[in-house]
Amino acid sequence: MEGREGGAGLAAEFDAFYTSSASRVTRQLVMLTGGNLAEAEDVVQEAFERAWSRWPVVRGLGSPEAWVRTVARRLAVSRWRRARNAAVAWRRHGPLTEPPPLDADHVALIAALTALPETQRVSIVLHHLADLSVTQVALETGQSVSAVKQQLVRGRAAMAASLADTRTIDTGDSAPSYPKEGR
Amino acid sequence: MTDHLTRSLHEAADALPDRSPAAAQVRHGAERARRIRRAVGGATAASLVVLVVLVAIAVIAGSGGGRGTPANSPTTIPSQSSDSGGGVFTSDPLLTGAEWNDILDHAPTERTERTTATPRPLDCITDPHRLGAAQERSAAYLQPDRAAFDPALLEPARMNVYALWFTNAADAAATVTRLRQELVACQAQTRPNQPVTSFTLADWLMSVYPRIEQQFAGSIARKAGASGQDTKINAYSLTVSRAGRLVIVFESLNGWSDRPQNTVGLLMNHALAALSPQVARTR
Repeated sequence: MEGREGGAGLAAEFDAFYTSSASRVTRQLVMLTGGNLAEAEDVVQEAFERAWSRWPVVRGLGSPEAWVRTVARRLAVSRWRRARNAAVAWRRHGPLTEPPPLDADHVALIAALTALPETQRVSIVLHHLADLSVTQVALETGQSVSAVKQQLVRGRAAMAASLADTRTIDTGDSAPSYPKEGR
Repeated sequence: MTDHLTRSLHEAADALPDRSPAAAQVRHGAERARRIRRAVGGATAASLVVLVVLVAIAVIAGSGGGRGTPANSPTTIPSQSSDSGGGVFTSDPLLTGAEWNDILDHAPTERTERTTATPRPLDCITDPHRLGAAQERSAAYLQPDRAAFDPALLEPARMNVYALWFTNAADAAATVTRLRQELVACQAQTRPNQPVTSFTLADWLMSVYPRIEQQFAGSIARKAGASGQDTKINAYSLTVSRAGRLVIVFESLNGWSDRPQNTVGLLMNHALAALSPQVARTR
């Protein structure tokens, strides 16, 4: 972390960024990795470690959180990483402490999400959980806006079939509405 | 409209426990990981360094050392060294051709690929081929995004290495000073669609590698777009080191600043250790 800027200032800035976003990104990764909390925690922690390693660059990006999420997501989808993470998570956390059981609806929701093709699952989570607009999802995933809209429609339809959700999907270029309080 | 799926996903996510470690723990973990990577990757990095140095020197030895001669393929490596005198590049100070070929055959291609293209400047410094060196060798590399230690996952990196040999040390020293000034001027350039987000400049190698008499390592990070939504960046890094008449220039585009610095540190250490007899003799 050489450079003109003071190390303490950078550390404080990173800490504030981490504190405000780590939990949120971890939960998003849980949904992206099929409900595996330990794996999500591991890849998110590694992504934040990498962010700190090059914080002078990452801090200047339009969305450092998007960078961390992208790195964590790519770590998570690597099969090699999946296999390795299982061992690392075991060593890091010891025997996994199971989180409090989710209620049946949440379990069904995660199961339906997990059953989606990855591209659809990523689009659904980024749009509906990370509150990104369709354009932002397209930017973060490197796809066209139309492709993201198509994946949202298909993913939502597939989940609806599982969850008996017949509501229509909002594929407009705006983040989905959701009360921000308490998050 | 509150979308049902949106609400359900948020509720399910909020039901998950928050077990995130403290921020300081993450930072310490990053430092620990960096140390581990250095240790574990030492052999790989050393192989890369040996490869880079040997390719550069091998090409030099193979092609005779005319000014402006670009790096060529490793097939020009001579089978035996021959000392025609006058400079470090006209002899083979390290290994026989067979030994070089053996190393090249085991190049860590999972991490770095040597491209067939000769180096071309990656940003705004003067083309090192035009710096007036009496002898020069160069090589271009591509860091593929499948690299084992690629932490960026965003862009494949391009890297150039130049070994420049000047007829007198004063010219070599002036070249280092010039490149440093050009890097500073570069980050001051206004590019409407690529504003500078970070600029670093350090001289840390000199304290680590005593043989280096003059050195700097700098980086310029720019946004790749003006939308504010970009996840891509343009990160240019430049490390220049001098020992006597020898100047090694290492530049990269989108190679994270810690990687070329680490690589260059090892490169310089290896190169200067290998070349020090010649450097000392011709100084």
